[in-house]
Amino acid sequence: MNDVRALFRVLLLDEIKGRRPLKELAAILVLIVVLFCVVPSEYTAVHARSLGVLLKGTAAAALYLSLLSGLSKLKDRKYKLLLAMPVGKTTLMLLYAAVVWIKHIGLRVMPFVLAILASNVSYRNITLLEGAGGGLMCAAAGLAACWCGISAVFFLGDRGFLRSRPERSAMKFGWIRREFVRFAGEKVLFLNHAGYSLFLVFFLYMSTAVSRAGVELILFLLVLLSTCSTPGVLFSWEKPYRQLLLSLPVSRGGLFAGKYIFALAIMFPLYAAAYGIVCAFGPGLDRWGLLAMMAISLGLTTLVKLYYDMKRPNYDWSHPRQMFEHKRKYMLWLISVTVSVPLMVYSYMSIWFAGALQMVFAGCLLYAIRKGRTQG
Amino acid sequence: MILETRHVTGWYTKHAPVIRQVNLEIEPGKVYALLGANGAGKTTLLNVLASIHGQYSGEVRYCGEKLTGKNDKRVKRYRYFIPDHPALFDEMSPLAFMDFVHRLYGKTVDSPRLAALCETFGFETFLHRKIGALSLGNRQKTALINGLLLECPLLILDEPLVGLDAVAIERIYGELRAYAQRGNAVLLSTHLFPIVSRICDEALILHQGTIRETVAVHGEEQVKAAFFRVIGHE
Repeated sequence: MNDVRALFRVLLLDEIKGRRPLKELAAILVLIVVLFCVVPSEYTAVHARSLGVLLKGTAAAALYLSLLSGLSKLKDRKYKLLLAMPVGKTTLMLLYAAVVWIKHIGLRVMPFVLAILASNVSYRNITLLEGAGGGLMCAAAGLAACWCGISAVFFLGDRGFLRSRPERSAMKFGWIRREFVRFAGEKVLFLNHAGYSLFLVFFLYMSTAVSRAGVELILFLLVLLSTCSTPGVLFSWEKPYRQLLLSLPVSRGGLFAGKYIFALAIMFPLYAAAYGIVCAFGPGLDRWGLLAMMAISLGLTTLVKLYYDMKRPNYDWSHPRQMFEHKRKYMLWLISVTVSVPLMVYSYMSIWFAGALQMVFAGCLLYAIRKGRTQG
Repeated sequence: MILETRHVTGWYTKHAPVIRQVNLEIEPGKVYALLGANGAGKTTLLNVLASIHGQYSGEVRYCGEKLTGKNDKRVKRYRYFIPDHPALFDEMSPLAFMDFVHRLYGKTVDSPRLAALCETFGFETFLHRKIGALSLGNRQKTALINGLLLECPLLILDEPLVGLDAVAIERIYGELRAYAQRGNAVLLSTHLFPIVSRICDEALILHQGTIRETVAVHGEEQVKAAFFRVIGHE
């Protein structure tokens, strides 16, 4: 029994290293308060019959996050080290599923679920018993989904189905092409980016086309587009090659430009889809003005996040998911939201002023990053 | 002089330098061995020379040009560095990697020479495979072939024989010797005395972060004796 406890401890500590749980919980609480202040209560209303939607949502989130964590863990040298030790594979999978549940569902998803249920209990949309039962069922569904996701990935990984193919290549490389090839070959980064983008697009579509939300909420959701963190990890992702890159006569400008163009290219579909949804279903907004504001936001947030990552790369990761889960993700979110927040006031003031405000914020952040402590 | 260092002191924490006041002179046409016990500072010194480790004071000059932050892109072209476990771009094939690195050095791959080196090292079948799918030995061969093709004035190798098979080890001796004879220089760190006696002209003995002795190589026993005398294990 002690060995199981020790193994669980090792897995848990490895997954939450570099994170500050209290700060994280505080940040989640702040986010919950902000969400409940910004999002009108009719969008978070749950009735006894619609508890199933919350349950399905929790299970889907748990499945997605566990698949992503499992795929990432397969690349971890420590996982291979554990496999070589006298540890039962089933035990390992079960323990890792529990760790993933604690990390993603227990500490992130459940606070939101419980907040929604609590607010609905207080509004008397559901009874206390229904609320408590709903919370327990969401937690159980999340755990079951984590177990399924982790087992499926480890099972497929063991049988070689997740190995990247083809193993031959006759391609010529430049900095930009290298980024695209790496991105296409890295399942975790690709899925993380695609999943987060789809989540934002889905949320925007539901708010705009189905719930017919007001201008304020739509602009708030457009600000959230900038929180997609892929551009903020592109230099950290070079961890295995940092010595090679330092030893070769590489132009830092060329490397940065390649990554910037690549980051714009992968962020563009998200912004284009969001713009299309708002134009098709949203309330009357100046289309050209919105297009200009979104283009400025895309260009500037990508630039500032990439610059931040170049100056302060995070090399404290042993599998790709840990790049996104590092404590500095809050800094990246803050940077993104600070640069793009003028989007929220765009309907109240001239586009020139809102655009200039974005540039001023971005300029100040670039200056602060440049003058701050540098790593790597 | 291909490489000159003056009073190079390198550290990870400022008050505890790993290498101290290292003065080196690497001449063309010679193969140099860097010898030292574990923890002597060999890899740190090579990392300073390869611009991987930036925490150092003193002067590093390649072909008379001082290495600074402003000219490092140009000066780096005077040398190519191969670490003991080379991390190469996994998404590329060895051929694409060599082509890519050659372009960074402002050169193009010499195809006939590449074909000859592939034959020498039995590497033809791996040229189009992705580096991520290669074994440690074949990654090492990729880096070695690339280094030999680039023909930089200085080739720096950290434990070049790690992962190589017996045939490749035998062949690399001849290739490194020929590389130096073409007017270049080779600096390699190793713990193996046979490679020193087979191909090296001079051995630099690093002990506790300082080069204690430079020995002209005349035989394995002579180098061994000098090494053990310096590190105090006679």
